Amino acid sequence: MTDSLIALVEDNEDDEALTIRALKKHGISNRIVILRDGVEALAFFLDVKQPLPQLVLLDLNLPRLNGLEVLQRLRAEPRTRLLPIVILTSSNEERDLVEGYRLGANSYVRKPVDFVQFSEAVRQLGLYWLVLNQVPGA
Amino acid sequence: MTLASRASSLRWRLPALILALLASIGGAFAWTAYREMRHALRLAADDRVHNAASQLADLLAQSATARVAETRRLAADVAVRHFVATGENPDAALLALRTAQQRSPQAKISLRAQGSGAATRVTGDHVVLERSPEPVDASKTAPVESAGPLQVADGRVFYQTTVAIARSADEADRGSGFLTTERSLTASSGVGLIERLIGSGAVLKLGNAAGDVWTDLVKPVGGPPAVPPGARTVSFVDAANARHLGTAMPIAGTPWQVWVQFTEAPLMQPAATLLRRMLPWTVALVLLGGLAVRLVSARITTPLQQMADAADAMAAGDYSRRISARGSTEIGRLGTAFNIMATRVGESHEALETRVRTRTEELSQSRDALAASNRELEAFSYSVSHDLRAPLRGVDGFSQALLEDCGDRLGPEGHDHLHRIRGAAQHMGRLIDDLLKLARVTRADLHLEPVDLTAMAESTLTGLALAHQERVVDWSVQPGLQATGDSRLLQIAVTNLLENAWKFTGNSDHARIEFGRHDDGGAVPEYFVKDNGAGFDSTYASKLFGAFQRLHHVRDFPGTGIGLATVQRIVRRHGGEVRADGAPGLGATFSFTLRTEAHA
Repeated sequence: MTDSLIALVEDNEDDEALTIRALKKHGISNRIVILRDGVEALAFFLDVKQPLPQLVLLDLNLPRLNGLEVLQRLRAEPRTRLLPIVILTSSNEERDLVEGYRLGANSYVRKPVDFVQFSEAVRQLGLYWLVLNQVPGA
Repeated sequence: MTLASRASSLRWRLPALILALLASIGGAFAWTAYREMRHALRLAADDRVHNAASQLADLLAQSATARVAETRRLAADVAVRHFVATGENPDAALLALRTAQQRSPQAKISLRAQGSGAATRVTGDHVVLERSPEPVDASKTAPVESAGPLQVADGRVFYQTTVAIARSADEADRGSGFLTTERSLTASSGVGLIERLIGSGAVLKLGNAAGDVWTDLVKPVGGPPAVPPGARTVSFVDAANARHLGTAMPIAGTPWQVWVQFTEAPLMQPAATLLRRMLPWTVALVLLGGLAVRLVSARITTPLQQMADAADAMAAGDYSRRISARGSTEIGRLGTAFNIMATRVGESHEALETRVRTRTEELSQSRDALAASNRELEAFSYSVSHDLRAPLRGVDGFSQALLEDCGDRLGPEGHDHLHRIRGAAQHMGRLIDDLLKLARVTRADLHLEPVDLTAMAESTLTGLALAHQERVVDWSVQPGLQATGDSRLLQIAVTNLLENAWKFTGNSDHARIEFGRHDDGGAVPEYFVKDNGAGFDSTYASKLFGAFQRLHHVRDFPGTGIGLATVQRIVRRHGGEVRADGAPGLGATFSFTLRTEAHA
């Protein structure tokens, strides 16, 4: 479990800190790579020299390329077609939900304002995607 | 234009009608003239026949009287009287008879006498003279002092005139006798004379008044038809199928009558000629009239046709057509009025189109503006949803982090402050969420469909009961509530109302929530959510549906004050109204209508 990588695509440093805090608090000690925007995220995921993370937590509202565009590009690449991607965002707009799932997101989680709820959401995400979920070739 | 519509157009029907009228008038006129002419001719023919018969009757009466007078003169001859009285000197009597006979070669004269002495009989050419003691045969010598009736013998028609030669009272010893003249009417020399008198083509017959013997003065013939009583003439058809007009007239002083007949055809000829001459003129007149009417009708109907065509063109959107009819006649005025009307209609149509174009442009601009403002609103909502919540999460998250990491270094007051910071941040988060919902309700498209309100309310209440298992709420939903509306929006409205009811019955001992429909028989069904919760002061009922309006303290019943505003927007978008009834401590009833089902 500690070997696998978690990618957090997030431009808000507060959210980044809170997410990392929540993960750590629940004993999820995987290596975490932080990607600040869509371009950076794509460059990382499509770089064959970089390892593929076991879970991508993808924000939607990103500078340069937004989350949905990143998702679309990743799903178009054979390397990242099956990459587990969870959209973790403030938005609960219906069209974001629909578009996210249409483009192949594995899950869509809205960040609660309440940190306790947020922390619980992150815990359940980590537990599910890093422990329970099985991926091909793992 | 098809043939049928051509035949039914005024241009053809009007002349046809007038032509028919002219033809019937012309025909009736010609026929009446013909009939009148025939009638007049018939009267004239009657006169002619009648006059001819009268003249002939007079002529014949004179002739007969002359013959009788001749016979009387002969009877008064001295030699004749002497022979009758005495039987002497028969030669002298015979000479007298012969002389008379020679004046009328076809006549037969006989003298029969009765007297004493020797019987004497002398005959000569057409002359007989006899005297005997025997009485004279009375049947042969009826003493008729006038022309006798016509008789037939051996194909010969004749009549006798007998005159008595009587003895006087003092001559009892002397003889008496009768002088009879027999005259033939056949092969009479008078035919030529009569023909000259009444004209050729006429037929003359002479007969007994009794009608038993008739002759055409050549031979015996059959009788003519009888003249009806009261009529002057009789019209009849002969064996050769020719029509004749004839009449009979008694001949004065004789037991005879004369018959004159004319063939009708030559008499009536002028009527037929008139008809024959009138017909072409009538036809020509009718055709001329028809032509005139056709020209007049064309003058009337051509502008009408133009108007009809122009009106059709106007209906099709072409306002440029004008009528050529001018002048002060009704048609001219109609044409002028039509042209003015066409101009005005064209102008107002043009003006209308310009206005429609302007309005369309304005509408399109405002639609664009609206779309732009909608896009802005959407971008704003998205931004609110996303960007406003992130800082709140930071406030809440780091307050919690502070509590966890440095909690031991903060006093109870510091803990309380941090809790308040978190509470405020979370409340702000809820406000943002509810505002977003309200905005979505406003701008979402309405998708009308059948909605099962009963199922909707039941699942919502079941969900609430599941989420709040610590609560005991007695709830009921009226079965079979079907409505028409946007199911997503109605779900939000029903959920808001039921959640409100659930929330405000939180302090009630026996919480009760009811969802149903008012059965007041109104045309538009009214649904309601009724609870026995905290209720509200109805003075402020109108404030209930305003955003952020609350009638209770947050500490009693938490909430953002946006739920009922959302319900009202949803109901209004469905064309309905929502109202609230209640009193503090007695619960509340929220009723709403949905107009969409009235015309769904």
